[in-house]
Parts: sequence; C-alpha cells; structure tokens
Amino acid sequence: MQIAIYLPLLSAALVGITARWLAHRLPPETASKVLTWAAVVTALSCAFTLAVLAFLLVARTPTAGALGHWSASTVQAGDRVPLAVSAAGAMATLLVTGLLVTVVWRQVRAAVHARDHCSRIGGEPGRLVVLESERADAYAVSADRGRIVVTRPMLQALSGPERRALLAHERAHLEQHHHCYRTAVAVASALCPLLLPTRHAIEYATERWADETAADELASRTLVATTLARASVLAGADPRRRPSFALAAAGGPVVRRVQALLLPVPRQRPLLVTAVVAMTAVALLGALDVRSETEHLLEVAGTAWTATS
Amino acid sequence: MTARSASARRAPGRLEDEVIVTLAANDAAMTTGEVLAQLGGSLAYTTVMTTLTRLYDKGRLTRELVGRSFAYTLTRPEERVARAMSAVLEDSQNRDRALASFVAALDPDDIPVLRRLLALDRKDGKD
Repeated sequence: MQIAIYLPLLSAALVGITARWLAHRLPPETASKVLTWAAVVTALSCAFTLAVLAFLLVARTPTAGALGHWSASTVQAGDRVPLAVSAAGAMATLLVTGLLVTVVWRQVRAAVHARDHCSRIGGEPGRLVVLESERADAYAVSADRGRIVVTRPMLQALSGPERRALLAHERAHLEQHHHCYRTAVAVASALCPLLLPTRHAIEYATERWADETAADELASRTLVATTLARASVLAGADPRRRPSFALAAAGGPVVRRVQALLLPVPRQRPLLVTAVVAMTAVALLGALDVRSETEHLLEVAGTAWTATS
Repeated sequence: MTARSASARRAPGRLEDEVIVTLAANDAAMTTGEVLAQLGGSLAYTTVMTTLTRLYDKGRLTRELVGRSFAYTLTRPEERVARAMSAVLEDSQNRDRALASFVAALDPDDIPVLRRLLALDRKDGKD
C-alpha cells in the first residue's frame, strides 16, 4: 500500500504533463476522448486515495474506533502509511473538496446563464439564431438542446462558403457534445489539480475536432482555415465580452488551429493511445489496491475489537 | 481523408439555417435564384424554393412580388412578435374579450406607449 497510494498521483501528474503534447500529436477526436477518459479516471483514483488517507488519519483515533467498532490501536499498528503522508492527504482532501465545490458551482451557474441566454434569444433546439448586434461574433450554446448564435455583422463580413464553414464548425460543437468533454475535464481538474493543463488541452482538441468536422463536410480544410482566421479577426481578441458558456469559433489558440488545418491531419497512433490507457490503468490499480488493503485492515481491526469486548 | 458527400445533401433544418444566414448577410430582398446562387453545392432550385416557402409559412420571412417571382427578407424581430400576437388574436373566439383581457393584463409602463401609438395611428387617417 505504501507504493499504491502514490500511483494515482503519479498517473495524474503524467497526464497533466503530457496533455498538451497529446492534444497536438493525436487526431482531434481521439485526443478529446482519450484526454477526457484519462483525466476522469486518474482524478477519481486520486480523489479516492486522498479520501482514504484522510479516513485512515481519523480511523486511528480511539473515538472513531468506538464509533466504528474497530480497534484503533490495530489500525495504528497495521497502517503502514507514514503519519505525515496521511496528514498531507487529509489536508489535500479538504483543499480538493473546496475546489470541487467551487468548480461545480461555477459550472451550474454557467449552465443557468446559458439557459437564460437561450430563452432571451429564442430559436429552436439545435438551430441557428441571428443576433442583431454591433459586434461580429459566432458561438454555440449548449443549453436547451443547443443553439448556434451568429451576429449579423459577422454574417455580412463573410462570403457564402465561409458562412457555411462557420455554421458547420458551430454545429459540430453541438452535435458532438463538446461541452460535456470540457465539463468533465473541468471537474476532474478540481478533483486533482495536477490535471489542470488538461483544461487547455481539451479546449484545443475540441476546437480542432469541430474544425476537422467542418472541413470534412465542406471538403476543404483551406476554406475552414481562412474562415477561422477571418472570424477571429472580426470577433476581436477580447474573450471576456463573450458569455462564458459559449464555444466560439474564435476560441482557443487560433493561430495553431489555422496551422494545423494547413498541415496534414495527425495520424492515428494506437501505441500512444495504449500508453495513455495503461497510465490510467495504473491509477485505477493503485486505487483498487488502496481500497482492498484498507478494507482488510478494517476487518482485522474489527476482529480485534470484537475479541477484546 | 475522404470528404463526406454532405455538400450535395443537407438535412432540412440545416438548409433552413443556411438560407437564413444567406438572407441575414444580404440586406436586400433575395429571390430563389439569388439565394440558390449563394448557397453553393449541388442544390436543386425546387429545394431552395420549398425551404423559402416553409420559412415564410413559419413567419421567419416576409416576401414581396418582384416581377413574376417572390423576393424574401428576414422578418424583423418586432414584426415576428406582432405576427404572433395577430395569429393568437385570430384564433380567439371573442376578439373583443381577448383584447379586453390583454389590456387588463398590460404592464403599466406599456399603456402610455400604446396610447401614443394609437393617437399617431388616428392622425394618419386610419380608424
């Protein structure tokens, strides 16, 4: 167990460190799914391990033993995790709980704002709404089964094919449920802050995914690249003026996205995917080992309690 | 990387959105032919015409006869509210009572606005 408790943290750290690199090396759809899977699994394993460490710290106390009917001294003797490590784990659990509450609260608020926005602008589920506005802008909103919002100045500034590319990109965000991936990664990063870099990575990967979907539909990657470049220039560089729940065409690192569209699509790398999955398996195994060892320890302590009472 | 053949066929909802986008981008009214030209892909004239008619029936577009064909524009948001209200009024069994209920339920801030608009209307010679 002394080793097992570190495995989820190690995995999470590796995922965090390699996230951006993975997002660039893998094809966008694969990258999005693999990154989300890796983030969620390692985050849950980490959170579980931390919770167990916190629990063990408490379980060593006679009060807990009395309440739970186990021998606190047996737990103390049998718990081979150093006290300092358990204490650190307990503190980390508190921190993580705070982060989780904050992030979940923010996500809920964003979802409520998105719903309000949808009822204000009207429109039908999954469909387009043309917004009268002074600013050129375009984004997808994932609420009430989705909306694509484009302002009139943006439409007037683009050519026919470019408008189609823009629509295709935003539609891809809705149809492929990119906001689900982003939300999952946001929550995972709260559960395990080592995963923080995956938030940027998933934003990039999902934007690239929408770009490639639009390019497929219009049979031209160059067209999507031009549209993306023009739309981001028209929309301006100020992301704060856009609602936080919006998945915008001009989101993420635009220059890299344009470059990526002008280069060949990254090829499938099954070995790399396998390596990432293996990393997450290590995290899971660590968490499972922690669980079984703790269960065993409590059983033994429980037996000791019954024997002395 | 093979391109999907989606440029030839579009789902009806998608086509409607593309038509709306085309009309929104051009300030002037557009005929079926003009919309078709801007949409690209191998679309049939009749497909575009059907879509425009469907959007007109939904109240999203207004149209005027230009020569022998219709030219379409996007209905302004205010016009859509008015159309919706007129449609509901048409459906009501007793117009007078419906109007009376409407007036009774009015926001106090709207009353002077309505009074002013009605007065203007009377001045224009309508009754």
